[in-house]
Amino acid sequence: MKTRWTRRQVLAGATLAAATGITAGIGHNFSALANVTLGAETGRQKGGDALVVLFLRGGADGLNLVAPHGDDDYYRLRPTLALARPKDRRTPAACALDLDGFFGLHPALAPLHPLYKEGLFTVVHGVGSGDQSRSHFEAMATMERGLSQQSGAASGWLARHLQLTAGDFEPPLRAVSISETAPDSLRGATTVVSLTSLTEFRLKPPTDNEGKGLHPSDRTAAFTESLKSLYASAPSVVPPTQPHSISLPMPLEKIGQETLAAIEAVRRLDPAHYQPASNAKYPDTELGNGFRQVSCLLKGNVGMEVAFLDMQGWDTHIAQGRETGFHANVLGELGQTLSAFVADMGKEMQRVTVVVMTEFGRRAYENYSLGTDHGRASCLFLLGGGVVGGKVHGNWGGLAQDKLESPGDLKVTTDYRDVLAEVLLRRVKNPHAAEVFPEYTPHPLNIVRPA
Amino acid sequence: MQGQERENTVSEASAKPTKPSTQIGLGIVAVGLVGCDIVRTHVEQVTGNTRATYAPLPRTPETEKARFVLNRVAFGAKPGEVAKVTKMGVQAYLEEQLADTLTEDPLVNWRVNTLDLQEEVRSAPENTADLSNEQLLQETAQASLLRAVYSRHQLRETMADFWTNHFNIFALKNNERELIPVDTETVIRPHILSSFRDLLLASAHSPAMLSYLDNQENKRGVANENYARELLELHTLGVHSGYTQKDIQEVARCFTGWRLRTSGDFQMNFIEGVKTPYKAFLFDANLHDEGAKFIPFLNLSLSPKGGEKDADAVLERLATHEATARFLAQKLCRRYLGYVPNEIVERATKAYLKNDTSIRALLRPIILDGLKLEATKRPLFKRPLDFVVSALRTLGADTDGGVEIQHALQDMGQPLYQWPMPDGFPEKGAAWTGSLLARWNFALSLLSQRGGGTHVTLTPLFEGFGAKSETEKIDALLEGILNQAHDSPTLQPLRKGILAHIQKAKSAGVSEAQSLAEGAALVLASPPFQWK
Repeated sequence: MKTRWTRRQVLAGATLAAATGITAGIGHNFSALANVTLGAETGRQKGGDALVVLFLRGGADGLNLVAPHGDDDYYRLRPTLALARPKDRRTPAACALDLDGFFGLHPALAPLHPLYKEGLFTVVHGVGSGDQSRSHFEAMATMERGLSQQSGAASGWLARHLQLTAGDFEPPLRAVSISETAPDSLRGATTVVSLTSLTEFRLKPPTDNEGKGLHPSDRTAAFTESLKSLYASAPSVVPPTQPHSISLPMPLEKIGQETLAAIEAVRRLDPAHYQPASNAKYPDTELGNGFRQVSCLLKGNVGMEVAFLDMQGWDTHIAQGRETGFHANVLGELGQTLSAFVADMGKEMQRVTVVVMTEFGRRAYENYSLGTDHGRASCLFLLGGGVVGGKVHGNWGGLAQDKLESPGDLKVTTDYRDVLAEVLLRRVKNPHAAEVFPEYTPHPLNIVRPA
Repeated sequence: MQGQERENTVSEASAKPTKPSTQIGLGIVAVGLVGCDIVRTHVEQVTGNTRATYAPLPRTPETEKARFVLNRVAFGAKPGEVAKVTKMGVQAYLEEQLADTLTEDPLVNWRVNTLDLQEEVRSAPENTADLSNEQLLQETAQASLLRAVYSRHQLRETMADFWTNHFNIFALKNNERELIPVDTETVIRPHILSSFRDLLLASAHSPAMLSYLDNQENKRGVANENYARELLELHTLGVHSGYTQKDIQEVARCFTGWRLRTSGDFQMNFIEGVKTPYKAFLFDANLHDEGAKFIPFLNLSLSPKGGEKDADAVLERLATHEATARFLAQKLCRRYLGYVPNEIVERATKAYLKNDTSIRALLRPIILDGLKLEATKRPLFKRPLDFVVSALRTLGADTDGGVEIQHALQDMGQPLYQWPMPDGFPEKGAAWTGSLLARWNFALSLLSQRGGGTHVTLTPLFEGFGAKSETEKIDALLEGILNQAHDSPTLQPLRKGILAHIQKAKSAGVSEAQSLAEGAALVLASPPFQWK
């Protein structure tokens, strides 16, 4: 028995090495494998931040996330939805939490307020893309592909970032999407693992204990070995060249190998027993658990450079609510999750940048259903040790009738690519950050410090 | 032990916090059909229906065509079906599927009709609201899965999936799950291959759609644009057809007052003796914008006081618009061919317009000629639904389409009726690359007979192929599951891998039956089975 166990150990290590391209010949240390330290030569370990991107789907209402309480037009356009001015005693629960005398956080985002003061959290207001369709799908596709209009490169901006910074080999968990389907932002990346729960990321034993007294894990291991050999064969189907093809962009066998390598890495992490630091309390929701797992992966040092998450529930056409209600609920979940993540990561936040973005903001005036329709600019959040704190960034476009963009939307005053490019260049240390955004020359904003 | 393991599986799934269908609790396990084999035998005795049987594949060029066509217009082949289609000819099979007039397998109808939900939908739709949310969601998906696995009208069922996604409704948005099964049975299914105009009209009047896309909030004075926008962008013209924000706003005005009957209207119904079911469609003249309207893109002018007819006129224009025809043709090409050949799109577009919005006419050039194009032969990565249903079909599984299957689909990222955005589950293969591990686990669990509502036995496969020795059985597994000749060169790496796995399993003391079951699971988990 002992011999067999040892042999399997060696085999597993060797196959993982093969799957990830690690060989002694290209200068990597086999002993590193024992600690699951994959990706030792990639961007993150060279001093760049890990990048965590959260996409708020549906068009988050920037004017309710970070309210311009210093702008009288805000109160004219939103008689029922506007947050009260800070310290308005008539409606204490509905008061914006002041940031800079002009903007204030939604009260449900209170957990982020101290982080703003500590310089770990900041806001860029008036952010958006050039997309004029006000369609969720067009605007998301534009943004996730890093474009100003829909036409252009078909790959995602994060995928291009990963390609431009690829090292000698691709760590299996280099890019992780905490979702059921791979997002457009990562479309075209060679290594993306989509998962909703780390502990589920394993092969389940094919038999119970009935057969010949064998432990179930023996059969799982055997099955895994066989899968490794099946997915190691030459690609059966070559990726397509036709335009508009819906087929796979890369060989299936490669995807299988990445999946098997990731299973092995997660097995070694033991996520089931992960304890957040500093008593951090993540909400028991999809988003809260998503960030909890991102933290586990980051601390496990598995070579994850990019984590992508998304959150639904921002398409507030109806009964959006003010300090309570539908919108306040999702904001509460967002604020608690982000503050738990910062607490859990502790000093590690110096090496992490979190970007929270959305496809567009919402119309400046509220609609008859006490909600808001699709608009243009929204705001964007940045968290991490590298943010330039103490102020709300961006140029305020104003809400006066002649300042709004037809049919009544806050103008985009900061192109979202300026923000992303600066984060990639200064924090993630991608020297080719500008190439991530084709046919665009990003403008420096000074919203993050060089790492 | 088996029972315990099942409980663990379910409670693990329930512990996942906010994933929609995890609200399906333990109690649901009992809802599924039990003893399907007994039922099957009984129905077979009554109807004389016989099961398809496995047989070695005919070695003709037509065999490969039959396999290919069954992978595309059907959810894969049932046992013996490739041989049957080879014999009758691919062309005849496709014409039969387009005609859609076969006598249905009585077992399918029986299984679907005995679901509680189906009885309610047929007899008293207003009572569906009395069923629990879990049962509503589960049985709606169950009916879809049963039909996908067992129906003889496979083109109809792949098209049902297509339209369900085209007119996608997220079951959990407004907590009005009882509207989804009514939508499925009265909007989608009666119109799958007939008139797109009728389908579009039914969808526009669907309480589930009115609720999902907020049209019950679309009122005179302050229009809600949500439905109007998706109607133009996703249901008809397509986003690149050239309409503008102005068109959306004008179309939204036409739909003001289109809403669903709510509890507030109930008292009035009662007094007036109106028999219309609760939450049915209601045109509310008080909320309708009666001003004149002009929709530039459709060149449609509507005089004041058009009432309910404003939106009818818009729907008629949209259904018969060339941009709609082209948009639908392109989308169907992507679905069935994997890409968009312009010549086929143009022919399909013309046929649709010439034949009064006939979906069948639209499909004919795509299915009959598009599938013959060389570039179409490039395999497509199965979506999770394709993978699961084709696995159940090729193994001749006995399934209730119940909770185990639905959890597997959820793990792969495709929980039925639970795609939140109005564009439907992604068609692109790249969206599903993260699902491999869940596919492997499904293959393992399907072949490990853990209990529940789905059963597979390999005996008929081995018997059909006359396989006695271990090698013969392995070859039978390959040929029976993949419908490709076991000696074809592309299958040799797989054949070698399965052989090695089974030999190692046996030398580790695993029984022959178990080893072969693992071999079958490996075939389902292998690269060749992921393509269609």
